Amino acid sequence: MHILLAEDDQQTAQAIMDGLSPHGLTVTHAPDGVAALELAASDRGDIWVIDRMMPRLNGLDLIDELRRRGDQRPVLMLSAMSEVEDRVLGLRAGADDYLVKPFALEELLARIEVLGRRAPQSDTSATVLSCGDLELDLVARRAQRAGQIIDLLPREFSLLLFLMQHQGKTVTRDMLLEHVFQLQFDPQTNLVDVHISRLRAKLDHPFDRPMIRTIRGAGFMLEDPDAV
Amino acid sequence: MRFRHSGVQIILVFMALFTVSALAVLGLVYWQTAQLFQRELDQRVGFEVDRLTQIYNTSGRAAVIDDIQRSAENPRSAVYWFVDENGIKLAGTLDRISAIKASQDLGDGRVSLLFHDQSGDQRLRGQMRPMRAGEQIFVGHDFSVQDQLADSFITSSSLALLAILFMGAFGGWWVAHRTRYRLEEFNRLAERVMEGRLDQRIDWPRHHDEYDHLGDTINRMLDRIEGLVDAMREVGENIAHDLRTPLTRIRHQVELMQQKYHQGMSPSDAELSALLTHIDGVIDTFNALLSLARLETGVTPLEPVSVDLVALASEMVDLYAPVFEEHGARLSFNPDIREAPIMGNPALLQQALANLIENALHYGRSAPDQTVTLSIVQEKAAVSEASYAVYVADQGDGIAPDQMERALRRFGRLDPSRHHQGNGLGLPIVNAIMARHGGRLTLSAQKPHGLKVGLHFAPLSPRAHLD
Repeated sequence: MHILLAEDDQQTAQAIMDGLSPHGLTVTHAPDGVAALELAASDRGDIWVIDRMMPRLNGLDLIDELRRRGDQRPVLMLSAMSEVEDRVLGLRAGADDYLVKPFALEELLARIEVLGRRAPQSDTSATVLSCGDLELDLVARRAQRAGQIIDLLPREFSLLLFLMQHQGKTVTRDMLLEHVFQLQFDPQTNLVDVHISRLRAKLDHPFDRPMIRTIRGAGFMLEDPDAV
Repeated sequence: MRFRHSGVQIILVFMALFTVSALAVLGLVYWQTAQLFQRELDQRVGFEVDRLTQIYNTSGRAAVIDDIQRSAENPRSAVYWFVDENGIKLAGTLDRISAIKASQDLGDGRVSLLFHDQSGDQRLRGQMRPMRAGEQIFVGHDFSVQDQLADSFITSSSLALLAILFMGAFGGWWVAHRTRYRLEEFNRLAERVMEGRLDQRIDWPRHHDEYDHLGDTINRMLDRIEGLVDAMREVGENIAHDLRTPLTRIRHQVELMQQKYHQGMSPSDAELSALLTHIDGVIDTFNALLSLARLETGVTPLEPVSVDLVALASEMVDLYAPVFEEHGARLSFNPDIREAPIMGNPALLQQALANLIENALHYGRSAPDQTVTLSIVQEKAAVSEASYAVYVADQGDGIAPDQMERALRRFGRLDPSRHHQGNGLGLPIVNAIMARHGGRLTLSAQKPHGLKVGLHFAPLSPRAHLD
């Protein structure tokens, strides 16, 4: 995957490039909004990573201009502004995701992966999701693994649904807090881990091979153990 | 020439207004007086003609001639003219009818005559009446009296107008001066505030007018701004104070790693993890301080919607119950009522409840088999004034009553060793969230031991305080 990075701080840009390259991601860097627009016309790239505050053309206006020119590539916005309304403003401007500085590189990586593979997998019409021997029936709101029905509470179902929609990809705690628990603050307890462990007790423990993997320093990943 | 100065403009406007109104009033008075004067004359003439007609009818022509001659001796008397059927003068003070230069029929037999005599032009207003045998009697009055009246009226009116103009100018000057004095005061205040002297206020003798009102509003605005600036200053000092410690620790850790590097050793995974944890702690504290500052200064609009506290609390209990179980504790939920609708910001209310629940878990840990209880009650009987309270009670060590106020302050952690987690901003944030909702937070001791935190929400109406 190729990243188009618009970031005016050279050190941040360098750190992002250094952090992403070991994961097979290449980055083209534009030092400001206007340079990013020039890049948009020439470079192919798969995903935009755009800093909100840049000289000459700020991130919000850059996204606006890109969308106006018909650039539909996913945008991840980086910002030092953390309040809910800042996030809303960023998403309204056309960003697909919003990451607050300072962030962990793992978090950035996970979000880029989600955005990058979003398009081909977003089959919203499917009513049954599957991963190996695990099946999730969205209509009956029922999960079964290897033919055995797994009794899930509503929140556990939502958690598993999110993991299945992002199977094979790292899902961070922040992503779960935001999308599954729908909390707009950082809990001071291991809330996410506790709920994941509850899900594991039902999904993994009765079976030989666990499906939910902990990705150290980043989050969790649901994957078909036989496919690895 | 254009007058840009508001004082001059006000004076000119005042003078113009005074002149126009004075002219209108004087004109009306003159017209009314003239009308009255004419009616009075017409009436007197009417009586006189009636009297002469009666004399003619009862005593004949000679009696009329005699009467007219006697009446004419009085110099202030009316003007008479009595002619026979051939137009020959029989009696009267008018010599010849042919001297009449102009006549105007005023209706009802009344006429206005302009004629000439030795003294010059004279205007008469009177009544002409034919008698039985064809004679004609005219009784009139010298109309020049009215002209004299008009002359003296104009003279005195001009004097009055001058006085009025002078008063208008003075009034304009006074209003302009008063306005300017008070505007100058606003100007001076604004300049002092711009110099950074936020404690300055409008302070002048009260006139109980709109300038006082504006002054009060500006003073209140400055109070608020000063409060905000103080709050921001305090936040700045707190950030400096509370972030310096962990940053120093981080710096020392990195220095140690650098020393090890020079000795040919690489840092261990545990060391790096500890470093990351410390950095995350700094970021958490920083974020908490920022949201607290935003809450307290009211920078962020509340955008309240209808929220059911029971449903919200139940959701938070579902979320946290597994966390409690993991720690060998229990979170129980006892709502006294089925629903508790209020106006509020759901995200902030979630955060407030989460902070209290997490605090109860952290600080209530001393109890074996601890139970944290979340309850919701309706505080007033009248449904129309429904106000609700959410209580989170733990069985920990609690807070000594004299320490409770401190617990609501920033970094007011009661545990000096700070071995508990948390950034010391949990309760202050809840407190600020409650203040934004027009409610309040209470702390009380839980029997036999423990802390009970109450969130008291104001009745649904009035909602004025909710932005």
